Amino acid sequence: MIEYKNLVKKFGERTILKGLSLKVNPGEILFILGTSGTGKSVLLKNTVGLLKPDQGEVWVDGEEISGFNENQLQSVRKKCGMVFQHPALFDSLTVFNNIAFGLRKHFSLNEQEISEKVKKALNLVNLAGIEDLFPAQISYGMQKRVSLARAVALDPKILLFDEPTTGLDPVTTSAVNQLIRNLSKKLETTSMVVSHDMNSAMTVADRIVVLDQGNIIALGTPEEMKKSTVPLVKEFLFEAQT
Amino acid sequence: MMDASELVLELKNVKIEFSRKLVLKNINLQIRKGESLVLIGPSGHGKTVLLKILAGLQQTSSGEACVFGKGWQNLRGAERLATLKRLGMLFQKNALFDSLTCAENIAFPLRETTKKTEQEVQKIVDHFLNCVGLPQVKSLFPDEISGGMQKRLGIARALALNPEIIFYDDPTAGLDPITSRKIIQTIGELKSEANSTAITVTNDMNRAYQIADRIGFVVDQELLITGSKEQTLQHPDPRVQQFIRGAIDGPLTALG
Repeated sequence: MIEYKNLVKKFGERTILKGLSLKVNPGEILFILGTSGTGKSVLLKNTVGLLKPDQGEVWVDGEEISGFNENQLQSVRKKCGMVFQHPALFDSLTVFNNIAFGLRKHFSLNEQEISEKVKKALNLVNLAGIEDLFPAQISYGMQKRVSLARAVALDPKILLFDEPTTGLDPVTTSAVNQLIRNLSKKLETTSMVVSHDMNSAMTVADRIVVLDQGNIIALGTPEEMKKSTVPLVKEFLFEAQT
Repeated sequence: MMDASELVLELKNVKIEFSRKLVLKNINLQIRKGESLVLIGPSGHGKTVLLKILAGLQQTSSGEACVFGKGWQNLRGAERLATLKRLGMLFQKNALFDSLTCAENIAFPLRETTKKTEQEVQKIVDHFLNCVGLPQVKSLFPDEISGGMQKRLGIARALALNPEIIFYDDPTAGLDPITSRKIIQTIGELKSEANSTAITVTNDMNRAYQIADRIGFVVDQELLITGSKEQTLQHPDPRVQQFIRGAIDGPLTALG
């Protein structure tokens, strides 16, 4: 579904991605872990053309997108639901219009179809009936769920999460993890999750990739990670347990 | 044992309301010089508000908040400024100057608030960039480094002034586990060296256990001192147990 071939990304003198190649299988939840500044978010941004590689190829759903212009990228972004660390809701729009915004922008739907899609998305995150409230009138946890509803309303083939549990308390982290797993499996999306949280990765991921200094140093299932002899992977696991 | 003269922060029957909505009540707390207190608790239950009251950035609705034996509400003008200079604060969002290089971000408060020579300033900048593992970013601007690196830079800037009390609002959010441990270790080492006092808000229980002398659980508008790591792990309150285990089912509602 997604494939990176020999991806190189530089910022000035610094090379962040150093010829990275990786295949993300259809329907899997892939966690991307690694030390800070190693290019995890850069990889995610390359997937939707928010950043372009200096060398290499980015394949999304059968198309090589690294040479795409903004118009062509719109069709790629339609297939991708993005969830950021912060809910990033429009505070001047109701919950309904926050979710409807992307639907109106990307699809030609009538108001009834939009309304149905919004309701369906809110049901998926157990928030039926809050359509008319504004973001400031609901809790942070609910805002987080609305941002998930907004991402899935577009019926995306791909879900991209950038640090979805950073800054959340342990109880909320568990609940968001459960939601990521349930939504991805129910909607049969291919999901990529950038995270620092080894515990989340071990419970939610089908596979985990660990980046260090712009290269892949480990790739495998949570079970395989437990047996890994790679020092950084062992350290991540150790820190998660202590 | 430390005696009462070493009390650096105190809250007496503090209550906080925002537009008549009760946020915190019956808060009593004494923090002694050299202590490390960690505040944990569900999002939206008032951890950051409590931190701001202690740091003099938030007024109480009733009760009294004291720093170095004086009530915050009585500290005005030069005396307030002199008190603030003895405190350090790391914000959730790093609040870096984006038009200054990383080195200049650390040097700025040193030049503004101390009489150190330029040579001394440079030495301190180098030392603290090393402490947080960032010697290579000296001449880069904040938007040229990653989010995790920005966090570490913010910590270096807060520590460089050698404050007597340091407030850390979620210092390791967004950092990988290894960097998190190192940052907390650095915070702990510098705290021991200077015998300073640290108040840390965090959601990461492993880091809380690593640095806390005492843990305070902010929940349902109140502060529950759960004690040391061992005491917290055995604490009888079901909310504490649900929280530290990250269990979805229990008295605390997730994503509510």
